[in-house]
Amino acid sequence: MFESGYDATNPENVFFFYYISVCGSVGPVLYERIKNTFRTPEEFLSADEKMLKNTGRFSDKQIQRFIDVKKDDRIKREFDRMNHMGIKMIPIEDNDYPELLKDISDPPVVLFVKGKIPSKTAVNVGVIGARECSDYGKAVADRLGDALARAGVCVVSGMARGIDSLSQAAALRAGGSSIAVLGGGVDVIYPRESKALYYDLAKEGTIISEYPPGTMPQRQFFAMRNRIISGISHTLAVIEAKEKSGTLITVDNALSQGRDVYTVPGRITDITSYGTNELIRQGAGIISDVNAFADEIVKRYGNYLSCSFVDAPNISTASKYSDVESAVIKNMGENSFTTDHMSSVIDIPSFELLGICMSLCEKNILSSLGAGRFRATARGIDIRNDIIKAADEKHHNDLDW
Amino acid sequence: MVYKVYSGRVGGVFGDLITVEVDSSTGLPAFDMIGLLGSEVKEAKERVRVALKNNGINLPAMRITVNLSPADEHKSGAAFDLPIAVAILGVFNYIPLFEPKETLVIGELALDGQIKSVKGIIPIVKMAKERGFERVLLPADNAREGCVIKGIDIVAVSNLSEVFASLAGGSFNTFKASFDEPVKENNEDVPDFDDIYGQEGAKRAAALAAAGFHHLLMTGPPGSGKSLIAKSLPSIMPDLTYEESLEISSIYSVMGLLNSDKPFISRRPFYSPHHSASLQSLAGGGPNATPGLVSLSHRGILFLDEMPEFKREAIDMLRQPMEDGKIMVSRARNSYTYPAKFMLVGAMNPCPCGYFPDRNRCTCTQSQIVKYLSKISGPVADRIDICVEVPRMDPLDMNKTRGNVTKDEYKGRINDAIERQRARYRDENFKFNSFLPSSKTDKYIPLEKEAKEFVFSLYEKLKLSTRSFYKILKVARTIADFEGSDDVSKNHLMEASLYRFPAYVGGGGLNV
Repeated sequence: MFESGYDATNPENVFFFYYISVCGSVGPVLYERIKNTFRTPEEFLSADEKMLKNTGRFSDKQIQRFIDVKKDDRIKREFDRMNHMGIKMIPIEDNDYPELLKDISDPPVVLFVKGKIPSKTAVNVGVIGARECSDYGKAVADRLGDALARAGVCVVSGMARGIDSLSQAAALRAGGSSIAVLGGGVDVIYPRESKALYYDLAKEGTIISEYPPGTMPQRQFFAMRNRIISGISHTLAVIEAKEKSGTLITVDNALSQGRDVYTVPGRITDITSYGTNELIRQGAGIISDVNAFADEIVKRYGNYLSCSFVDAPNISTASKYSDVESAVIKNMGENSFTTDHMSSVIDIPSFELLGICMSLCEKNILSSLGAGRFRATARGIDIRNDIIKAADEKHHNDLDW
Repeated sequence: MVYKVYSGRVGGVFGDLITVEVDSSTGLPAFDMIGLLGSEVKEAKERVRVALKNNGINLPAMRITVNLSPADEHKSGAAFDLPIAVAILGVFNYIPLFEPKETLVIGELALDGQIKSVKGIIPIVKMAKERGFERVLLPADNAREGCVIKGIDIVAVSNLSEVFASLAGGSFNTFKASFDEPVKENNEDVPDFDDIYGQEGAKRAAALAAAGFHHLLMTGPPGSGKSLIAKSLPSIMPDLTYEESLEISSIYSVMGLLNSDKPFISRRPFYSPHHSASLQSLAGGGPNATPGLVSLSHRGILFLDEMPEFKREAIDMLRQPMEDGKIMVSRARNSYTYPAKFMLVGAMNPCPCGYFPDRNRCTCTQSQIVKYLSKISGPVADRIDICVEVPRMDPLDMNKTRGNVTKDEYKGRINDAIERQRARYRDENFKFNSFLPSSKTDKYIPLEKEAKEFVFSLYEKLKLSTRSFYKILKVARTIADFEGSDDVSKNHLMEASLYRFPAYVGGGGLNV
């Protein structure tokens, strides 16, 4: 830092960081150079073109940019507007700056924050995956977000549609915390369909970005923001990824930053699982049970956390359900289905299945999606697993007999 | 001296009385026609003059004036040729025994005196009957069409000399033709409902739609059988009643689609316009504001295959007829209201490639899907009562026709359901659950406490609009009728809620 040290209460100090982030392309190297050249931020801010040139440490292009931004009087107004909107800045020198992020090769010099300041002690897990995800991916995102939140882990993601937003929404719903890293200003809601999630995050969680407020999201920003997602996370969990996807870029970032990568296995015929299965082949960790995964993460990183408060899954017996109900429960997957689908799997006519599915809806095992389509609820999947397990055990016992 | 003969024309699907007045006076010989006439009506003077001459009647050298009243309404068509000729015969006292007040005359003349068929016979004969005429004199080719209306004599004439002989003698040969009641449908070339293997769930939904005359939307991947279900729906629809047939026949008569071979529509209309159909072809229009496909499919099915491919304005136009069962077509000269109580059956893929929500096969991006689905605007989607998915079937599973409900069973239950509705709504001006206004749901759909609580919990849980809420009530009423139950129970309501629109259609969230 400058000789004077960083002082968050000094408005000049704060403005300095705002200024260099508006200048853009000020990475850790350039920041270091500025720091070593000038004694105080004020000195840098008041330096004119000649002075900057005389230092001999900046290229003409950089100097031009500094001068252009300085001449533009909008920057002051924007700065005031940002403060007025309650958007906070965390410069890299600040105590609130995430420790994990400092360790990566090119940490952002400033983070803009809307919502709560990220906790220094929390365990962060990045949950990422395909935007166009399957029903299976949706179901897993939902459960993983929920399980992590219940274990006290903070879910980090990018608020994109699909896996990102579903896991974050699930975490918030379970009363946990979540951090969204955006590829534009923190006041720019992108994508639009995540609007509801955005406001929830602003209230209950955290939205961060390295770009000053008002910056519109751009394609190249997303690759940059992905390095922050993996950078502030202890571990990265990948739910679904196609063969070529942005998700895999984040995985590369994470690996080069020394983060562990876990993936959710999928069927090898599902194109949305090509990427994740390939990661497993290359040696990624496997998430076979969301609760066990959450526990493991807490044990490994959660020095400051009290023990997790994961609810034991409801133990329910198969006897509570009639034979036909059990047949439907056993054969339902994460994918949504219509009675005609189900009827082709289990030999029960469609119109009878309609009644069975309706009663399962009442028992909160299925939910109706409209147009005659149903999907298993998270509770339903638990019950299905219990029933299948019970049936297997019975089968084993019978064999022993 | 003035001589008056009565004739008619069609306005919308209703007949209007037209008075043909002819006056002969001394002066320079002339033949004038007045009364806001279209050019084909003005040309009648040549046809009439020549036809009379060719039948041995030469017009005396007098000043003849023909007026068609009411004089402020535009008249078109060649159907006034015969009444003008009769009026001329009258004014020159060729037919003293003829009493024009009892007879309505209509027909087009050829130069040799042959009488040719005209459009719109049914509404005109109906009007004549309502106005107390005793008989209608009409072209022989239209005779069977005219006989559709009972309680009025039809006199079929094929040439002018026959008319002359009959009027001069004051006696008429009444034409007789009878029609079965109720009308038997001829459905031989309609695909059979039994030909659909599997898809029991979708078939049931389609049968429910037919039982309550609800609009139906089927979604599903290409080749899953949506079109087949739609096309075979007529095979389970109830037979037309005489009144229904008459309503349909009137519209066809106006369009000139009836002839002596097919004087009467005896099967439910089924129209499947291509998706390039224009707004006018669907709604009706043209210079004379003629009916469109929505009216031609009155009491039948309007099947829109690949619904999102239709022009957006064409789909949006359907809103008024779907809601009110009629459509008002306005043009510069005329503005008519046509009946349009059709049953809309729509079929669509859930996304451009057709496989959404199966992400393994669907190659569309989110924005493509949203764009595709948004072509069915919310208001139209809101008026479709039943939405069902027709899933793709494994060919191996299709042979499992277990528990197949046969066509006759479906038809029987639909007929029963319709009888129940008819009995329930005997004092109302509607006959089907789908037309039940929301103000009368309390009267006709009384709910037990349990069912009431359930339906309100649905309203909260599914965040329904008020219209969707009533939609579920009405569909539940139909399900109860279909099951032969007087009361609407919780199960009926629940099944009805299954047929609501999925969130991904109509602009809802895609994270389903």
